[in-house]
Amino acid sequence: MPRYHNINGIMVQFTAEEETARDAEIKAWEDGKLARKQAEMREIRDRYLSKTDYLALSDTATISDNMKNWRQSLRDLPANENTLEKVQAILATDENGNLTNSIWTIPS
Amino acid sequence: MALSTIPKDSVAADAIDGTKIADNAINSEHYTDGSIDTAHVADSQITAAKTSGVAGLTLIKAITISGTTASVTFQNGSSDVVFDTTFDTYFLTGNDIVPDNDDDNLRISFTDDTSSISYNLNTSRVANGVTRSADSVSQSNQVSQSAGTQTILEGCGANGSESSNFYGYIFNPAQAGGREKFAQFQSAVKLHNNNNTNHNHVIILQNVVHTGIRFNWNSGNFAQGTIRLYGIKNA
Repeated sequence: MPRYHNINGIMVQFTAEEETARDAEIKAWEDGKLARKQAEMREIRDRYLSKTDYLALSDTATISDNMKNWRQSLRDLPANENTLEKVQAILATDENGNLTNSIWTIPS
Repeated sequence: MALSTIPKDSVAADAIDGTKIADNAINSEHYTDGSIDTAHVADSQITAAKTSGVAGLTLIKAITISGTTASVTFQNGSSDVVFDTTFDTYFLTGNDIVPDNDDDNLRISFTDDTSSISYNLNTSRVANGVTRSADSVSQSNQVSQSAGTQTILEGCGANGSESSNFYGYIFNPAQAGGREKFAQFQSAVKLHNNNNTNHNHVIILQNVVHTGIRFNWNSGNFAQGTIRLYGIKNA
């Protein structure tokens, strides 16, 4: 389907050169989707690690194995979640914007 | 003896038109308060050009988006659109903006061309954003420079009732020489996953005469929305 510019309210069809350039731009954008989603996942992961950093200080009480394992699983996210489908599953939200994947549940 | 008044029925319909009245024949001293109302002014008789010297806001063009629209452009010189020194500042609003593809970014680009139009002027952007998710707020700062486009709405949603809005000012777009040129945008975005974001952007324009602004997405077309261009006169 041809693309159009709306220039001052008048529809002007893309030239062949514009269509080619736009196709290339969209392909590059789509090719970068996994990297963008992984960056979003890392940013959220970092926030969750920060929330529990105080438990892992060397001069605080012993951290539980449960907490250690959870924090390690957060660190392993980029290595393990390496496809777009996997990352989207990690970033899934409900209708209120809450992250729903169980990885984001902080162990008690 | 000079006539003090001319009866209306002594003047045929259409007997007086603009060619019979000297440019300086009528001025404000010939009017009394309330003597002219809207019935005396036909549609489209007052244009932006006749408001010279009057401070205020003028709607230059509203573009309501329909399907298969890949870009929305306000380009100086046609369809009553001015993007030059006619106004001191240009004001843009975007209402209920929705992309065809969920989670897309709305971008702007500028041209300085007047014939073979290419929207590839280099721009610099400083942005800071606040994103609200259900349980937390995060902040981000970005600096970028690119030839062609700068993002003003990030991660726009297209699900259900999700839509995004923005407003922006462009200062001195058509001033040549060393005059400062800035674009300032504020956007409120309903994200693709239902989170809310707000972003401020300052975009520094090149030191050339800008003759048009274009909106498009990283991928896909517009699904809906209205973008309006206003001109602001200082006086």
